Amino acid sequence: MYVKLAWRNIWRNKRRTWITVSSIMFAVVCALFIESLERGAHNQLINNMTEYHTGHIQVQDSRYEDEPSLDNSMVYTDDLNLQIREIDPRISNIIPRIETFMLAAGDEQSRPAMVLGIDLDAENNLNELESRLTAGRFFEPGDGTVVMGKGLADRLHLAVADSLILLGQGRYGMTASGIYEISGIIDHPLREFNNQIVYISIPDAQWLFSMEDRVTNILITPEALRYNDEISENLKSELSENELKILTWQEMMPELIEALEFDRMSTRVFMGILYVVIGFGIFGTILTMTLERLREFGILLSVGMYRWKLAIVVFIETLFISVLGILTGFGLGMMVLGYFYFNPIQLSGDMLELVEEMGFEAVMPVAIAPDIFLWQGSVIFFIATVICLYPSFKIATLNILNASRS
Amino acid sequence: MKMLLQISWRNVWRHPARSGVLLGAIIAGLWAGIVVSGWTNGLIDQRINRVIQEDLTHIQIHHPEFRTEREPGMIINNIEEIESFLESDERVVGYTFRTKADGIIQSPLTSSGVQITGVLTDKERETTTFHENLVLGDYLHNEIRNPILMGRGLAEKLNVEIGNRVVLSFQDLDNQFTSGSFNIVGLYYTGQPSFDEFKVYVRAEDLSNLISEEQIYHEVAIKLHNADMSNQVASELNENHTDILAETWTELSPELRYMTGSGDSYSFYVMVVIMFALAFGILNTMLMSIFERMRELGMLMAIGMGRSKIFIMIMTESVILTITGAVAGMLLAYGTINFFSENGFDLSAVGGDTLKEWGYDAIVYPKVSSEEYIMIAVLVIFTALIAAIYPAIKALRINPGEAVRE
Repeated sequence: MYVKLAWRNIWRNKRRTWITVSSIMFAVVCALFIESLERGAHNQLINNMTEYHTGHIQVQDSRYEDEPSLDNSMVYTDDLNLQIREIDPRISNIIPRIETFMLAAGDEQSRPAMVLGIDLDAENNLNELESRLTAGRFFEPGDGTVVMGKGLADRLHLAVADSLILLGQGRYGMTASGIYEISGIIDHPLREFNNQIVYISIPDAQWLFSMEDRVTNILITPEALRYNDEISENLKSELSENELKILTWQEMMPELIEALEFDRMSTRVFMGILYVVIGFGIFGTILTMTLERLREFGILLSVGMYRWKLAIVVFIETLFISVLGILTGFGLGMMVLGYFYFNPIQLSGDMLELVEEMGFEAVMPVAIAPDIFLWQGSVIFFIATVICLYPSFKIATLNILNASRS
Repeated sequence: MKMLLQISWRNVWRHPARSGVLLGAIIAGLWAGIVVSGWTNGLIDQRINRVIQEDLTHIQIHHPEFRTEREPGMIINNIEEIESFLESDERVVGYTFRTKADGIIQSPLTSSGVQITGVLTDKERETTTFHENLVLGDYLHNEIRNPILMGRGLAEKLNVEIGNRVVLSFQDLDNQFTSGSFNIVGLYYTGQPSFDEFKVYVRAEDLSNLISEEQIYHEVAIKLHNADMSNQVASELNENHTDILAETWTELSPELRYMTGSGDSYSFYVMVVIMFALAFGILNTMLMSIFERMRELGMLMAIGMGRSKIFIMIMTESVILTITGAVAGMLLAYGTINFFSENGFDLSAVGGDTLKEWGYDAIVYPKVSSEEYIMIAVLVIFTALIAAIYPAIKALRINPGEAVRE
């Protein structure tokens, strides 16, 4: 009865209802947009860091984290690759690496270099490494050539087909030195890498460092970021007995987590402001609606309607309006987010240059995540419901005579 | 026109409650928006100042190609000339010379690439505050031969502690490879892993001895009284001296430039979203007040008030409302910002210590520039006009005949 009455009431004055619905709808769209933009920026940052740096999950020898040395490498064979793949079907890439610091020298200059033994196909799956080549080609496994960062090559005055000397230490203090032909030059997006990276194929690296069948770490990427925790749990329970350690990106980059946390805090402050402004907006329309209907309420009460019954009817009306506003807000929000998801905002001007200089893609992506909808929907529903108590409160304290005469 | 203004003014205050809510929204939105922008600016300034004070300084002088090539031979030849220039310049607070080398650091366990900075211990301490980052041990002192400071992160990576010996290898002036053994006297912590794991500090004379026969310097770091003078002093240095390049902190650090840039765009987006939300609130409230006054507006038209005058009246109402709110909100924000920019906003009571983990101080000095105030004022007026157009057009479409009879 109440519900029916309320439903009919809200459609009695369609225009008024739609204005109120639209103010809630707008609030939902606004909040969804901001939150999704922030989530998108965070996911982008995490992807940049994991794809070019640490990977989402790493498998290492259990001593490697404390002492990252070639001495603490691990055996990596096709068997282990298969074993890992069977642990969880949601693993998309397995990328073995050998990582160490050496001295790289050309004819005159020498510089410290980060030497990375890689499996090119696996790296390509991770970050399309090969597409960053600016000259030459990538090596075939074991052909005795290397690919180096453009920054490093410039400092050593080297180009494709020149010889690069690598000097350093292999496993258990063995001297590691070799002369390699440069088969390609790469423009690495992270500046620190560009100035010190030398890529070499895994078989060549294993020979150079006297570490047959061994690698220092294995990067593992999930099909989607949200599976990451479960996959790492599964790996932990299956692999821990082999003296292996499984690290997630959160464990490898605690400072990134802190930075994201700080960013989230400032977004929360901003959301708070937005809620206040939005709340005032919704209150403005609800207040106008109430004032407009005071006469109606007064007459209803004076012909014998109970105050509490009227209050309930009006409250149900406003509930309908809130729910309608939030649902239409989800609909419109979906469309807006969908648009920006496929056409992300491009940065321009000075910011574009800077972001590219830092090696990031100059777009502001949005993330579409169900939990954002759920959370923002509930917050705004809560705000709207609190505001919508106002008409019911007004009815409870209404002076019938004044109201019906106005 | 004067009469129209008067009518609009009275119309606005006919419903004090409704106008009050809208005013409240505008005041709260503007105040919060400006305060948050000011706070963000304050945090960014703090971060920038810290980087400048700690290590970067306002201006650095190098050999013109040193920053890209980083060759040991690219030294500053006319160091006395520059010194006498800096000594006589009143804008300079302090300056120091540094010797630089890129090399490899080796512990018994492993090796890593590092940037080595040779500092003049006394002059460095007068110019920068880097020594305050020391968390363990002592600053570079004369009691031990070849002392070295390194980041806590690097020490963990190399598995060394104070008192241990590490070997640094790098190129000398003849491009020959040379190494020296150094004793760890202290560990520092800046909170930035890229710094802590990558930079080590030794005495300039120790580093110079290994690189060359005589004392050489690659870098002059200059601290000024006022950061705004950086450009001027740098260009004077470039004009008066040959074979050097003086650069300001914005040129030296793309990260800081990025931070200033992103801070500016952050405040801009905050204001735009708040304006957007406000515009919608204004639009809805005005629309409702038009529908409510249909009869009255129809009557005005029927007795001969021109449509253009009605349009102007409605527009003026929105603008009066918005500007009243905007002026109040901006004054309030101006007062708040001014108060806290003098006294500092102490967050330690409400968990400000967590800020320290992110490398900020618990006391923030918010700052809003006059350009930002102007930008906000323009945005507000723009918003009010945009939001008022639709309701005003709606009012024009009223058919006086029907409206009066309703």
